[in-house]
Amino acid sequence: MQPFGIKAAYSRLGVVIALTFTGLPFVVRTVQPVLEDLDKEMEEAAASLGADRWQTITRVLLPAILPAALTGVTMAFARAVGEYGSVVFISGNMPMRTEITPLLIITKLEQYDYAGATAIAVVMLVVSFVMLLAINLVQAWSGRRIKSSGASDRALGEA
Amino acid sequence: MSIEANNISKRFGQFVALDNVDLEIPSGELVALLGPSGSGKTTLLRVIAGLEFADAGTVRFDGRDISDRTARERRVGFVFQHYALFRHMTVFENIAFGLRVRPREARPSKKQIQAKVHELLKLIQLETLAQRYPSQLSGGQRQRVALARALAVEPSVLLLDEPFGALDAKVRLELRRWLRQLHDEIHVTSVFVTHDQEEALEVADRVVVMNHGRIEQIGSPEEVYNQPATPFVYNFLGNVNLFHGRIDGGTTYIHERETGHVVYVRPHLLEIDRQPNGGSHFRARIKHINAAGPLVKVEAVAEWGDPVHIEMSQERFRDLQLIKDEAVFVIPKDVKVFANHEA
Repeated sequence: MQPFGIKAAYSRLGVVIALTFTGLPFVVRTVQPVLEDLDKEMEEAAASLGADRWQTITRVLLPAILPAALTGVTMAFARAVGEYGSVVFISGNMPMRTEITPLLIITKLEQYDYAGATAIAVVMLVVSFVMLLAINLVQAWSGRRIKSSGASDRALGEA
Repeated sequence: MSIEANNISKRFGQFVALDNVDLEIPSGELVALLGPSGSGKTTLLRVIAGLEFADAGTVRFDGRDISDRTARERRVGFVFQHYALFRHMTVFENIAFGLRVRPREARPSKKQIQAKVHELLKLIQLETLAQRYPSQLSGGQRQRVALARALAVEPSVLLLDEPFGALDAKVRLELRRWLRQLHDEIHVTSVFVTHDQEEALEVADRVVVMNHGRIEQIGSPEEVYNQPATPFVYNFLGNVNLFHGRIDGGTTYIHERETGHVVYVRPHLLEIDRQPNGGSHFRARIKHINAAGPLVKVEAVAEWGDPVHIEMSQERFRDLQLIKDEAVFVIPKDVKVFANHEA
């Protein structure tokens, strides 16, 4: 990307790229089956009701894949929190510029600074918990809206 | 709004789904497209809806050519076999969807939308379930919601693709009577696809019988049932016995294999008796009797070895006291003869 004036290696962008690459498969793998399972008829129904492409995507398709996407994001996030190998390769671990916390912990450990490493780890743990809690809340909210169709409908439904 | 489809052809690869189909539906009619699977009935419906585009031919609404218009522009109400409700929306939101996605200028106010949705909920008798999600509804309820959703946009025509196909028998019966009533109330031109002949004959004003991508016959339920135009129609609408035969000077002879006619007789038009009553008859031996139901179904073997199905009333069955393996005479009351094309 050098010719375009974008510097990826040894930059913060590099960190983002590396973590996106390691995290993306989780999102893809969780969303893919849901997308495949989505009825083409839902789109056709939306179209016959007068929705244009954009409305169909934002109002019908995205809400339908939201729970799966959130699951993928959670997993990608968990992975990204602990990931450092790929980040070292692309960002170079330059002090105060492209450093990431997992690497800081490793560095502290190598210097036998166990207290320092633990301190960083605790902070990270708290941040991770808060993030996971937030994602879970969003997931619970969207899960309440989309219950898997089928299974329980008889018991609840018949008039 | 009237619908006209002219010379519609459609292929999927090598498979010919529609072969030069012509169909005219006058405004306000309730029409059934009836045929076995693979007969092209659903494809024709989707072509009318604009969800599928024909390889050749034109579709007109009220005389206007709309062949190139998308489903969105055609303003049709489409009801899917598997409902295709939006799972993440409540019943209310599902029905309101068509109104909410309108461009701002044409969009009704929140109040108007609410009023319209409640009016429709009343129509489908689900007023109390507005806040439920589709997964909390039974199949019949879902299909009614799908219908209300389609009606919300005040479509010019209502198209239903096997609307009762995924429902169990009892609900199906209720719902199709309800659809008939609904149509009598709102008079929107409606076309529904079905492979259930009973459903088509009971609900529709007119029945379009399709086979192999062609229309076999168009007519009122009485017409297609009592005056079938082709052997296929006769065969498809109700049970039938099939004999080979020939016509000679106005007399029909059955079981003369060398000749080029096929004789069709409905099971209830065959009578069983212990005496030949002077008219035409043939001998048969009773193989099986099924007396459950309004009609007694008797399976017999004709003198030349072909199976014959006969239906009679319970009274007649009690009078005759038929038993298995008994030899009887079978008297055809009415037959229908077609030239045999396959011979």
